Amino acid sequence: MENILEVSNLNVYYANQGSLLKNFGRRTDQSVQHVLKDVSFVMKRGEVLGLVGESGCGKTTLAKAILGMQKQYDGKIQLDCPNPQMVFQDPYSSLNPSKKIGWILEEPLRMKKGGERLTKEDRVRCVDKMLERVGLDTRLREHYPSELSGGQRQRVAIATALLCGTTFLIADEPVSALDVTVQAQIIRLLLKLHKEMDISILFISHDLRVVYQMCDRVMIMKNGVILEQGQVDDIYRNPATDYTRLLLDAANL
Amino acid sequence: MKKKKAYSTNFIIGAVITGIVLVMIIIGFIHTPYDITKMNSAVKLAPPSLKHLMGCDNFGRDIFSRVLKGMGNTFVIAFATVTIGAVCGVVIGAFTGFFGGWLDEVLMRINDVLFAFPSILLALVFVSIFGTGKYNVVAALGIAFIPSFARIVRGEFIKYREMDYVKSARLAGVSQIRIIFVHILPNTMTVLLSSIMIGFNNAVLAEAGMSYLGIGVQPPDASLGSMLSESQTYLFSAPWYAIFPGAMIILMVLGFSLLADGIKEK
Repeated sequence: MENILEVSNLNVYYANQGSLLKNFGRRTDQSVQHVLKDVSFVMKRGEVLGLVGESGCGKTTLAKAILGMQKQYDGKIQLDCPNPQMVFQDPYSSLNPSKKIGWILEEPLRMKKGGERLTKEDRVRCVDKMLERVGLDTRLREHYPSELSGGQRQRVAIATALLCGTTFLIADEPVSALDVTVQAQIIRLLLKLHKEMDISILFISHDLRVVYQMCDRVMIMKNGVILEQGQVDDIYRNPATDYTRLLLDAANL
Repeated sequence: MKKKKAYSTNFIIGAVITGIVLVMIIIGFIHTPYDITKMNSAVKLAPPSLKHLMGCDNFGRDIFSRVLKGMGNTFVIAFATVTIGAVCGVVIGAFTGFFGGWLDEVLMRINDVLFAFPSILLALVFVSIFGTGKYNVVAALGIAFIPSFARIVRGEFIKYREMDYVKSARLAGVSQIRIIFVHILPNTMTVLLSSIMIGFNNAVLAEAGMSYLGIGVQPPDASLGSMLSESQTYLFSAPWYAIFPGAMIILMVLGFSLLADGIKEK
């Protein structure tokens, strides 16, 4: 299949869940929120697709639905990758604070079953290779996450995702919590990994400049609707909607 | 943070007191200067002396020996109580906090009901149904202690289950049981450890209270609480009978409180 991801007519509703007692006998339509409205798009294999929109517009919900973390939805999601992975926004909560970096990185390798099961030495070798690949010192294996900087943590998070052997990665605002120079490093790293390992990346961001550096194509989202999608250059030069123009003006592009 | 361990003064004092208490308990298990049940009318209510360090009780039994044995009994009961409470509480709290849903609602409402009674009262009800004795007291207090642990662990799990590292562990294919016990549980250890310490204190006091009421350790066996209860008749004629067991209860509780504080501060 040429497309790694096909989403058609995706609708997601959030029911405002209360406790068992609060909701008892009270199921009104008012408590339902329509978060994603008829979202359709395709993503080609080996593509970096940007998803831009303001906070609360449904970007993360879309990511969750694609990853299967949001179970209730209408519509169709076809993902041609058995183990999609995600890099999260907050580098401080994306690593287990009580485990060493080496342990965290080995965890996906421990999960392999049957004949693929790796010995401790093999796992360490894989981890070291991956640490070098994401530009980290292999000595960091013996450190705790609290001893790492935000950029280093994000590199570890990326390494963990890649150690699962995935070809599809969702990066949910992976650089918004970092300062500008580190942002650039992480973006360069993601692009390098994208080329070397042929990974398709769905890059979620609210920063149009970052998206311009990263992505081939971009989708603009507002209030759960995809307003427009297309090549980054086209959209940045000829925005079709006022909202996109507003975003571009705000970003000074 | 994990490598540089600067111990607070609380922690050091607590560790020293607890150390002394533990040494006394161990000595009590191995050897006591006198047989704790042997009566000697010649030394009835004798004041502390070199021969009887803490004096003698109304039957002429050596109080020092009885305190050593009694501390052992109190300690074992408190330890078993906390173990039952903590293990059951952790399992219940972990599952309800992690999975949520109707099971959580039901178990937590039961928890609320149990919580509404003072643990001693609950244990009294239990003992009045199943009878007195060391093991019944352990079971009764253990069950009474479950809710407090369950609540603390549940709160921690609710906090951690939404964290990104738990989500990425799920995406990596880690099983839910492994996420609960390997990924999340170690992170609750600091909070859990200090509440175990506090729980231990409460258990010591509860055991003393129950033995004082005469439903815990049965005579002629000794426990700090039962000794206090026996001593109250002689409070003015032989104050040492009450002072030494009481002081030992204070020492035990104080030591563990300070330790708990020290752990929290770290």
